[in-house]
Amino acid sequence: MSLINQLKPSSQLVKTSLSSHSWLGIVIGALMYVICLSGTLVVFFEEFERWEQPLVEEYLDYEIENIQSSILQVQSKVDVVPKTIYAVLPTVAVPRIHVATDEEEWFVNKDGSLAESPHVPWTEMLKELHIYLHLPSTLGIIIVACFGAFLVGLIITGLLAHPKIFKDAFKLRIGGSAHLEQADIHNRLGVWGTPFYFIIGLTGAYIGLVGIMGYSISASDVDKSLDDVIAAVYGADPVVLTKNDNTIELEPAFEYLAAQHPAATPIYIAYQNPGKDNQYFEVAATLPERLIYSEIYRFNIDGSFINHQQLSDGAAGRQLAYSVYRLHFGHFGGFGVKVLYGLLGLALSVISVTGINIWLTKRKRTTPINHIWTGIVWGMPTALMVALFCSFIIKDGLPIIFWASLIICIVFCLIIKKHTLSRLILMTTSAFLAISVIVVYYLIHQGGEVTAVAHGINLMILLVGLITLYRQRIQFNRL
Amino acid sequence: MAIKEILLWLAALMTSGLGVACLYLSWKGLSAVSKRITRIVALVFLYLSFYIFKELVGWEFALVFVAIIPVLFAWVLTFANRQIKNNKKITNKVPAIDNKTGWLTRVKDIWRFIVAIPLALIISVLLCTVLAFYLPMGEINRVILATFLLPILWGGLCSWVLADGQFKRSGLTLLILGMASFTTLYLM
Repeated sequence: MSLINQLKPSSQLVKTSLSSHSWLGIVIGALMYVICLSGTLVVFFEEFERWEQPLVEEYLDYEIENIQSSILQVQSKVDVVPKTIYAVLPTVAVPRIHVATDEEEWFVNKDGSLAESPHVPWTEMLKELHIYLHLPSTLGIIIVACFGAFLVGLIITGLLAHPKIFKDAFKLRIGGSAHLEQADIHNRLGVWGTPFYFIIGLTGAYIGLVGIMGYSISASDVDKSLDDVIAAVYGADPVVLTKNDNTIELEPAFEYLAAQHPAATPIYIAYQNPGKDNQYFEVAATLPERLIYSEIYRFNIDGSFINHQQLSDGAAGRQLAYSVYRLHFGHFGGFGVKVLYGLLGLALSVISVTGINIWLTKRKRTTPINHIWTGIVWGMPTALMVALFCSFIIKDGLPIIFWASLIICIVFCLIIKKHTLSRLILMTTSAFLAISVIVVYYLIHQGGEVTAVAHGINLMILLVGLITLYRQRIQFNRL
Repeated sequence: MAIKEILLWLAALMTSGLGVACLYLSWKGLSAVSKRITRIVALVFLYLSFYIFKELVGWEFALVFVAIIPVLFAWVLTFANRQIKNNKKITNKVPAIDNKTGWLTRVKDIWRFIVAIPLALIISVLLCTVLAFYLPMGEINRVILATFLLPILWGGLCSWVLADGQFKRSGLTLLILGMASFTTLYLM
């Protein structure tokens, strides 16, 4: 008997796994789709931020003294001395410098002067949708993390429920039975993408559930607080004894890094406890060939080296924990990896949709659930486009506009009660909104030097809009 | 980017594509040699792809690339292999076979939900907290491994509860596991 035959699950296991897979999928399908589709777009959040504010000065080369000056300007500008002042340095993905406290933020001009504050309402709305589902942050991140764990569960049951995994490896039947078509799309996209979905589910769950584990461990050990657990995992703050003046000296620190760690590329500076006895600063830097978000080098206020946080060479667990962010968001290896993540994320969204579609075709009766599902699937792009259009007009409240639009789309589908017609109207609306967004965008920014990235995104939006219109025209002719 | 680097990228992508293509040929039965040999050749190509990626970007990125890049080639081949059945005119008609659920099924579904989702989560957190103290390794590694195990354990327990027809048995097993974990933590 071949190994494959030996590994084949029993028919009873297949049946129960399929039942478990369907049950879990149906319960979480709608929100999973919202999280996956928003996550697919969030991969490109840096590009969207540049698109929303296209006139901010962009540059990759900078003078250390200008960064230092911008940090001091922030210190003098704020009423209450913040716990930390950040200076985020330019990268190829975002060639802009911005300085920030926990509450306020400004871009920095090339000469070191402070420019306008970031204003990216749609991208913020999108990020908050993916990370928190627009719920209060602690609750939201835990709920979204739970979906990461469910995804892991769905992968396990999905694989067990698929006895012909090798036999059907490249099989795709289109146009015949709706159930077979949906099942083939679901299985082919699902099986081949399993490693990616597992990475995304596991890292997403980790990001949200690490807090719960921290609380649980600190609650079980009377000698440990939550801060102790976090310090043990990510490294404790250094003990510093420095003279108490406000002059931060970045130059010696950057010289030290260039000499001792020439491969390290600084990405941000965090000035901790400014003006206090225990003030110091950290320089976070990416390292080549490493998935960790960064190594953090700590310096006294005069620029003398204290230590590094051992994120790159400490315990394997710490390195692993600090690698999940790049792995989850696809922020490594340049724009090509983002595109790859975008495609795989889109596939996961399609899997969420086809999973529910399989169940709906199996039910063999039409109830309001069918129309609600049509409203969610095709209403989501429409609601995102409505929110994007409104971001030109209003400053706050985009999450409300997004959810209100989605609810309106669902109600609309419930009234129309025809799947094909509802989809056609919703997608045509999305396409027209996409084209309108570009027109309004250029009207607003006429006269300014819009960046190439912004033009690129506009071109993508235009293409998506036109292709959608063309596809809907075909659907219309079939009606 | 140096020419050598560009060539290496192309070689990595090509070997990755060839690996998937060999799998496809074996699956289709189009290979000139036996299926087993074709599959071995496929694995060799995929390993070569990993090796070239490792030379280019280090083993951490290489592992990720080799896990996700072949997916695109596989999808392209799947799409190329699609069978198009007669394209029927789209209708809104759905065969009307009744499949209604009674109140007893709904109660069972609610019980299923409670056991599979919140209860399994609580038990998983307790179990992983025990692991965070007792796994045979350093403190940081223990905590991180236990945290990574949490979603896997929860996903696994959740799936098992849903797959097991006897909800009393699965519920009871979870409760016993939870009690044992809680007692271990209490006595610690």
